[in-house]
Amino acid sequence: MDTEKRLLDIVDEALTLGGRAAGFDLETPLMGALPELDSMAVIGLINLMEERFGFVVGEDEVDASTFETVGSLLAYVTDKLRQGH
Amino acid sequence: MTPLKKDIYGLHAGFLESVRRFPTRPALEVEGQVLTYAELRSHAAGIAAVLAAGVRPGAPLLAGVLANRSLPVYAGLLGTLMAGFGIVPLNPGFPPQRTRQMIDQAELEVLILDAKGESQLGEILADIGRSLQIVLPYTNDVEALRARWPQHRFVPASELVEPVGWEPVSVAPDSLAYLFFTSGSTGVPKGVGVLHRNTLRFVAMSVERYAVCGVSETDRFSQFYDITFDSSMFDLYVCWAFGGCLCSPSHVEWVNPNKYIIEKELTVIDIVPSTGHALNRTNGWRPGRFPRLRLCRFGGEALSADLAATLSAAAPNAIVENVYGPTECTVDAAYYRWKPDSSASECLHGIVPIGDAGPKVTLMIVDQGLEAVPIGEEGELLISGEQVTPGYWRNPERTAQAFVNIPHREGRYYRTGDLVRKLGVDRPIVFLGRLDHQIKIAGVRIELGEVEKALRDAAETDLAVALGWPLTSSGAAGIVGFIADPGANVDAIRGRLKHVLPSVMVPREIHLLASFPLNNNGKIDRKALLESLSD
Repeated sequence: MDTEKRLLDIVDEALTLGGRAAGFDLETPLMGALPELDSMAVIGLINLMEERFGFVVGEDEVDASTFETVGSLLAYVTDKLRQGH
Repeated sequence: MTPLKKDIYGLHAGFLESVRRFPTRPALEVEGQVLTYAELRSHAAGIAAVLAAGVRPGAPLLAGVLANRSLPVYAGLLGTLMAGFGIVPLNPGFPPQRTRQMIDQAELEVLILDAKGESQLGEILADIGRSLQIVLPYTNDVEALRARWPQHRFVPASELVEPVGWEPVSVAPDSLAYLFFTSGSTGVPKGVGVLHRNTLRFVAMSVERYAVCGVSETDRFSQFYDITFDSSMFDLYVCWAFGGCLCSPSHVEWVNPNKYIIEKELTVIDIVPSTGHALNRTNGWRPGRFPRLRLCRFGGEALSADLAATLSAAAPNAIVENVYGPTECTVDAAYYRWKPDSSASECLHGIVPIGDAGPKVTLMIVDQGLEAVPIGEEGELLISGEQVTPGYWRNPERTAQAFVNIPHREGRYYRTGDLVRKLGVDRPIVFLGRLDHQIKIAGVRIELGEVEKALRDAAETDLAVALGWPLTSSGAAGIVGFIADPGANVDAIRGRLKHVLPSVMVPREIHLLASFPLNNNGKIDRKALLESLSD
């Protein structure tokens, strides 16, 4: 499964979107646009990304811009995976 | 600023006293702006004056606040109180259908919204029989709303002006300050009405407790709890009674909550342990990181000794406390202060004690016959005192079950359903677990019965089980559902659940069984189901 599909599955599960994430593309805005991505949900999403991708999200590595769109989040994940965690 | 001409009674009195004492000090930081006490009062008074002028004889004196982390939240809550109305806190993150249930149960005729709340109006107002007053403190753009819903009265920001000489309303001690809705086992949210006198006793107890620790108007309080959670009353009303500044992070700021604590120079934080575990990820709570913190409160669920010790080291100048209390008894009933050198010996199974009763609170540990058990034995915890609320909203039967009189003892006692044990005469009380099917996820109270009812409806079956899973030291991280229908469409069921339950209550997984395992009594064997998950 490619990274984008895996990421969308994680977003869907962490935010309980009931399959809606399957229709997202790279331009889909996340933070501020998706009511499900509230303050507590950010933490849940980070935790699930760590669990599924097997990397650790450093506190200084992410900020609001990371969660701006599916594309920005995917860029972060791809970069992490390329670094070999 | 209008000086107070008379003593005001009510939950808003502490805020108003701070307006008088510290008009130019910061009261609130939200959405990137800082408001002084005088400024926040002015915003609130504009809303309050409109509410007070619109009182209709016979209508409930309640207003719903459907907003999240925006100025309308805080101006709306204070404005509601200053108008002499009680607050029904609502969350735009909940499914609109659930919010509508609460609006109908409370028979609300007044709503205060922010932009997120407004985006749900279509679903919330669908087929509503009565006419509502809908206050929109953030916009003047109401023409489209008026055209779409002519039966409701939309009040834009430009009409929220405090008339000259207007004064906040003083309320009766027994009037409602808040109506909180919690998960209900019958499938419908359960209302807990909290009176002004309950809240004032809670605020007085807190101010007394923390003033001696040096908390004052110079302190900066976190506002991490959602307003639908009764613990938020500590953030708001204790902060404002001291004259401190309440700091409400935006979603963007919440991406790095530890940085928010440092950059906003917070001195008082109050969080659920689940949030604490999340903040401590990747060594976020390293020793000495938060020298400015003066008071750290954990509440809402079981606290692990590891987490308490970690925060105590990360905030070396802070008092760390575990606070305990159900919504029915107005936020706090018991406290335990963490002592880095000696508390480990008072923890049971690695869980921090809930401590001892706050002043003017009476705790009793009883057996099934409501007889006190000897010290050292386990039993159900009962709470009595001025913070005990009158009971469940329009539900005398349920109220009578949970709020009881004890022979030869004064006052009403609330049955918490929590199993506890007092470790010794001079030793604290420890929490052992629940007596029923209630669980907590991230501090949110969830009746598994409510999830099961929704599961049965969504799956069109007559048997469904919900369990907290995976289990954590503070409760459970999520919910797993079981249905006896091997052919059911799990995605469709989850899709339906999403429309009726907040996301925290939607099962992460739904297992389809041919039949349920039964125990010796012929009841569904929940323990066996739990064990099947850990295999």
